[in-house]
Formats: sequence, structure tokens, C-alpha cells
Amino acid sequence: VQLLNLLADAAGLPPSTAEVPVRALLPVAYSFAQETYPELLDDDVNAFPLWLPWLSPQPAYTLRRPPLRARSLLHRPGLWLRLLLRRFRLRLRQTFWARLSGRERRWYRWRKQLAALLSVRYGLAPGGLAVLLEDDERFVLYLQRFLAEHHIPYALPLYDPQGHYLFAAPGKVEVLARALLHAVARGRDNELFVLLADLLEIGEHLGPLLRAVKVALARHHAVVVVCPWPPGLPLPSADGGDGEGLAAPTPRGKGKAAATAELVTRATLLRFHRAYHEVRRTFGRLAVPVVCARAEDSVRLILDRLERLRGQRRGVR
Amino acid sequence: MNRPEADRREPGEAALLIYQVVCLAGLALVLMAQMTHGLGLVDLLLLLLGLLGVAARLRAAPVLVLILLAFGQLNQAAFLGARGWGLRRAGWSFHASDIVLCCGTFAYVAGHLRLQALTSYILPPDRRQYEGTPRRGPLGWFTNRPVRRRRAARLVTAAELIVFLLTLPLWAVLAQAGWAWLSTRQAVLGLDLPTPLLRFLLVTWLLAVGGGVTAAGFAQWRRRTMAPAEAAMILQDVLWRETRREQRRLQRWLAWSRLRRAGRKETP
Repeated sequence: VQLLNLLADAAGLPPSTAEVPVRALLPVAYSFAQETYPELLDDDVNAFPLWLPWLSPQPAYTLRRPPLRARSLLHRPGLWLRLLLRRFRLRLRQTFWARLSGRERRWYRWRKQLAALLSVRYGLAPGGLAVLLEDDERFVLYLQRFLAEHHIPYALPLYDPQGHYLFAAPGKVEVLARALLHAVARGRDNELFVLLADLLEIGEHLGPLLRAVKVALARHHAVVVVCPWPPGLPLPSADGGDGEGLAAPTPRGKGKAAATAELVTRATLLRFHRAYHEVRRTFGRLAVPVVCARAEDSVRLILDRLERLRGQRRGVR
Repeated sequence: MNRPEADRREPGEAALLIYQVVCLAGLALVLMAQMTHGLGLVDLLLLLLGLLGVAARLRAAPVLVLILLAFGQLNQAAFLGARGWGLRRAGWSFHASDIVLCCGTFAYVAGHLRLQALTSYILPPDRRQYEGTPRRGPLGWFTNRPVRRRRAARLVTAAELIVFLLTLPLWAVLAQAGWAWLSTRQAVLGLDLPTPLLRFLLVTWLLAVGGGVTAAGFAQWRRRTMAPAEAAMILQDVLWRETRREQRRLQRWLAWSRLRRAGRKETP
């Protein structure tokens, strides 16, 4: 029951990421706050000095810049130049455009007023206002929390500019590895450890978990990995292909929008299939089976493994 | 038809007519009172402006009529005073024309404002609500008109009109009493000041002190009824205003260092 409660609590958590730009959430949150908490945005309690965006707009050095990576050593000088130009452009924008543009100044006012509201609402006062006003990441996280609490829909990007899945949460690998080692240390019989975790798209962070699985296997335990699978997507083939031969989804409309939607669906499908096969190959080297939660044979596989373990125990006796 | 649509309809002609007649009657009373000193150019302008205000429903008409009337009164006083006719009287004496003037002015101003409530809007338009889908112009401003709420014409009753007309002389008598009280202050205070100046100073002082006390009372009442979140916002805002420069420098430095750390971690 405790496990189910924990799972239910985790399922109820809203997705949030610090990678969202402030501009994507600020207008939604401000217009909602204006409708719901007008008394907290009133000038009497939440004043904004008109000269502030003119004299002290947000400086360029506190803004996030997506990292650039050189594909080879030959590209290093070009990358350095691009980085320099990008920094210069950002500084130029914050020095001139942030002061002159009416929209930028309005957004700065919105941000200050929302920062004050969020700071009081989440008990960050008295210093929370300055933190949220200057730190984009924290401000965006609190904005998402505020919107999620009020059930306001907002769009979140799933991938960063480099194509990394933003909700992969590689931190869970460490947690899982620690839990597995803990269980192995206390296991007396030959146990079957079923890892129910979304390990897709975090291939490069699997090291600690692989080491823990090796320890479990060395102690004659069995391990099975069950990965969740998004609803609506076809299951990956068992032959280990990359999904290249997958049939294109049926078009739902005509024109560019339909073509784009098809492309996105197909790219997503390929991406999931490749990620699944990579995880499968990684664990396959340790003879650990990986199945999709939606696959019909996942339950059968677990029962089969359990039966095999029981047989081993009878053999030992 | 729902309620807002019903309110948006042209108000009942009867209600409009009633307040138009009140305004015209008020204007006639003002001119009657002015006739005791002889009509001049200012009075002619007053008549034209008053009629135009009623016919075209000018929103600024009550204020303009008041300004013109005050100008006419001051002009008349200066004219008579220059001839030594003693309009700058030290004491107070009853004049029926003053009562008529008060009643007429009050009837015109109040009647016109009620007319505006029926034809234009009863409360100032809410800038957060616009008619139709909000659209922004090239400068970023909303081009839609804010929603205006008129007073429903069916709410104008005979009782309202009777109370309004019966209270007109009451306010005029009260104004006369106030004027008489002001005129007797010189003897009480013993100040050697011209009577008009003393009246002006007393009225200004009373308005300033009264306004200040009222504002302080409302501010105190608002603070007493304030929610804890609002009070916390005020305290937070005060602290931020006082230490904004230091807090900003610290937090910007922290944000910069965190971004730099994250950048180093991501660099291969």
C-alpha cells in the first residue's frame, strides 16, 4: 500500500523543467494572476518603479545560453567565433533592446510583480523576490508550479536544442542502483529483481545501474528490466532493428501541417525504438532481459523467470 | 435576451426625457439668478454650453458649466467691487438669488451626471475588459474599446426623482449656512485679513485637513482589512526597495556563477 501511495504521489506531480524560456510562461501566468489575484498585483502592495527597466534591465550574463559543441577539432575555431558572436549579440540585446522595447519593459514589470507574488505564496519572502527576478531557472520552476497548482495548461518542450530528452531524469539511475545494492545486501535466497523504470534516452548515464546489476547477478540473483512505453506508439520489433522499416502513419489531413505532423510522429517513433534497442543491447550484454510494459509477454517473462528461480532452489536442496 | 444585452439597449426615452428636463430647468434657474445682476456675455456662453451639453450629451459639460459659472461670479464681483458697490461684503446677508443659483447649478450638474449614467456608463470603464477579441495596434496598445456598463433605464423611478428634487433646496440652504458660518469666523478668530481671503483660507484648510484625515482613515481601514498575503507583499516590497541594489548584485552574481558551473559541466 505504501508503494502504491508513493507511486500515486509521484504520478500526481506535474512535469517541470528549468529549460523552458521565461517568455513562454510569463504571459500565461501573468494574465491568470491578473484575473485571480488582482489585489496582489495592485500598485499599492506590489509597486514597480518605472525607471527600473531603463536603468537596470536583466544583464546578459545571467541569461542561459545553449551550449555549442564542436564536432571535431577542426571546428573548434569556428565554434569559438560563434560563441563570441552569440555573447556579443546577447549583450547588445540586453543593453539596448531591453531598454528601448516597450514589450521588454512590460515583461520586466510582469516578472517583478509575479516574482513578488510567487515569493510570498511559496514562503520565499523576504529575499525571494530578488532571487526570482534575477534567476531565470528558479523563476521558471516556480511559474510551472504555480500554473500546475491552478490547473492552467502550458506548453513544455520535450527536448532541448541539442536533442536531449528533458524529462529523462538521470538522477533516478543512482537511486535505482542504490536501492538494488541495498536489496542485494539483504537478500538471502536467489531473488528476482524487476526494475520498473523508464531507462530510455539515458543510455550514457546507466553506468551505476549496470554495476549494481552485475553485483546482483554475481550473487546468483536474476534481474528483469521493464520499461514503460508511450501509449499510441507501435511496439518495437524483437529483431533489434532500428525501426527503419516501420510503416508511415496514416495522414490525418492535407497540406504542410499534416506532413509536418507525420514527420514528427515518425521521428518520435524512430527515436523511441532506437532508445529501446540501445537499452536492450546494453543490458543484453549482461544477459538481463528488457521488455516493454505494454508487451504481451512481459508478465509471462516475469513468471517464467520466477519459475526458473524456484527450480534452481529445488535443485540446490 | 440576457441581462447585459438588455442593458446595452437604448435607455428608455422617458428616463432620458426626465433628466433632460431637470437639466434644462436647472439651467433656467441659473439664468434667472444671474438676471438679478444683469446678463452678460459669460451668461450667454453658459446658456449655449449648457444646451449643447444636454443635446450632445457632452461628458465634460458639468465641469465646464461649473468653471464658466465660477468665472462669471468672480468677474461680476470684481466689476461691482471696482465700483465700490460693496459686493465684497464683510458679513453675510440672505439673498434669495443665491439659493436659486445653488439649486439650479446642483440640478444641472447632478441631472447631467445621471443622464450620462443612462447613456454612456455608470462606472469608469474597466481597462481589463475589452469588447470583442482583444487586438493590439502597431504600438502595442489594445485597439478595442473597454466594456462600458450603462445604468438600466428601468431602474429610474418616480421616487428617485422626487427625492432628488426635494433635496435640492436642502443642499442650497446648507451651502448658505456654511457661507454664513465662514463669514462670522473673522470676528471669532480676530485675524486682520480681508474677508474673501479668510474664507478662501478657511475652506482650503478645511478641505485639506478633512481630505487628509479621510484618506488616513481609509488607509488605516484598508490595512486593518488586508489579507496576510497582501501585508506580506507590502513588507517584502519595502525591503526590496530599500535593499534592491545589494540584493540585485548578490543574486545576479549567484545566477552567473550557477550558469558558469552548469556550462563547465556540459562542456565535453
